[in-house]
Amino acid sequence: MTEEGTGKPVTADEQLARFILQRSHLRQDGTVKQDAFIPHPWLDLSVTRHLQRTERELWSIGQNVAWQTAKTLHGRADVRASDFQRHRLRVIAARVEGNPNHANVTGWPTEKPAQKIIAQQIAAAAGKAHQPPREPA
Amino acid sequence: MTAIALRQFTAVTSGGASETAGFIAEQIQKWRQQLQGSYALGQQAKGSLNELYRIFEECRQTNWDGYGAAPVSVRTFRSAYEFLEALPLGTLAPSIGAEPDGHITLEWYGSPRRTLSISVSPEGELHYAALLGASKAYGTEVCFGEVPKEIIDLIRRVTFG
Repeated sequence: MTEEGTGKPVTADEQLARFILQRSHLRQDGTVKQDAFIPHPWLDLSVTRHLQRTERELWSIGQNVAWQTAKTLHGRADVRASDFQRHRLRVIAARVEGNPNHANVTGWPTEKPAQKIIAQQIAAAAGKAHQPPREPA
Repeated sequence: MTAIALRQFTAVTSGGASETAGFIAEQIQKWRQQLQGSYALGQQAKGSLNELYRIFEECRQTNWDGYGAAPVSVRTFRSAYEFLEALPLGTLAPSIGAEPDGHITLEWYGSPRRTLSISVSPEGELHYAALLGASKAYGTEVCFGEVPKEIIDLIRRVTFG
């Protein structure tokens, strides 16, 4: 897996992945609930930049995230950086061990209703989550 | 919740001396009465209570979402339960979930652009956000035994257009 581009600023047209590790964050039709985009424990939301990664590599990152926390990977919601930025949120590249593509979405309002209305619109933009491959990547 | 699950859960909690165990045992008794005898609760409402219980069980430990989520507390569970109980008869059942800050969510979903989500806090606050086509609404209400009119109106707008 190459680390090309991971240190560069996030551009508006970049695709970002939010890995879904809680079943109830997905509806029965496979679409993503706003619950998956509420920031906590800090006013940051962890996402993974697609950059030049293949599907297999992206799922490998997701499986690693799930493995580290002993959770099941239920899906992956993809959104563009611009879907966050239009709500005055910032997407900051923030490499972490095991995931050089990691980024934080920052600048969230502190009031819960204001967080929710933004998260709802991001969830609407995400649409259906991608299903993880049957075989581990 | 199935009768078997009710029995199992009661067995686990009935011997506890804590306030938590006492409260849950009391709630289980209430559920039993409702599930077994009530004509007031429809099948959908019963399903919501079952789902609420399942989410509570899934999310009562720290980091249940893998990103450091706060646990759903008994107080939050109780607040959500009381809110569901207070919904007017005939209200379509919401989908139950949880947010990383430990709030329980109740969602009425028509389409991506027609949806209402309510977060129930441990204090019984109802933080809501709704997408209604081109318009949106969000704010906070408190449930004092009755569902606030603002919330009822939003549920109707989302479920009946």
